[in-house]
Amino acid sequence: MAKYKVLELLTSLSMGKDIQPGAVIEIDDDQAAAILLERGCIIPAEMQKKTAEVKSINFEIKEK
Amino acid sequence: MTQITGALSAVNAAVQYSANGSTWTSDLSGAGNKVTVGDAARMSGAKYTFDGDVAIITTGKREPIEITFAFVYTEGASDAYKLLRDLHEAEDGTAIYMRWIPKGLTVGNFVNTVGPVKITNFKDPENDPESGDPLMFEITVLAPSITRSTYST
Repeated sequence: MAKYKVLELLTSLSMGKDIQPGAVIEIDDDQAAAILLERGCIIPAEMQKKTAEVKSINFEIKEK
Repeated sequence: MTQITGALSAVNAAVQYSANGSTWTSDLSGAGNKVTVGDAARMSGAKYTFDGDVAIITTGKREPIEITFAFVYTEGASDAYKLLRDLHEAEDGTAIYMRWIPKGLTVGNFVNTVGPVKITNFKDPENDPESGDPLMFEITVLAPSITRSTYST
C-alpha cells in the first residue's frame, strides 16, 4: 500500500465520495494507482516530499 | 499528426442519481438511454463603432447548462420513472445530484457530476400506437456548471 497526493478531483468508488486535490490517500491496488498516475491525477506522496526537500536545499544554496 | 487512439462509444456509459451527492446508491444505467448536454456557453456581446470595420467583442460569465436524461419507461415502484417523477412533483421540487460516466464504472474514467439541481422539465412518454419502440420519458436539469472528476478506487 502506497501513499499518493491527489492532484485532480477524484470520485472514490470505495469511499463513495469525492476526494479534493491536495489530500493524501492510500491506494493498495497497484494497477489502479498506475492508471491514475498515468492520467496525472495523483503523484506519489514520497516524490512530493522529495520535491519539497530539493526546493528547501535550493533555497539554502541561494541564501549562501 | 498521428491518428489518435482511444476513441470510444457510449456502450459502457453509466448514469447515476444521488439525493445528497455523497451516496450514489441509485444506478439508473439499466433504464438510461441518452444524456444530452446543452451548450456550455459564455455570455458575449458585440458592438460596432463608426470607425473600424470589425466588432468590439466582450465576454461575460458562464451561462447555465441544460442536461437532458432519457430513460426507458417502466412502472416498478423503485424504477427510474416513479423515482424521478416523485422528486419533480414534490413541493418546491427536490434537489438532486446526477452524474454520468461516458466510459463506464472503472478506475481512471472521467465522471461528470451536476448538483444540487432541480428537475426543470419532466417529459412523460409519448403513446403512439404506430410505434413498436419502448416508451421513453425524459428529465431536464439546469446546472450552473458540470464538475469533472476521475474515478478512483
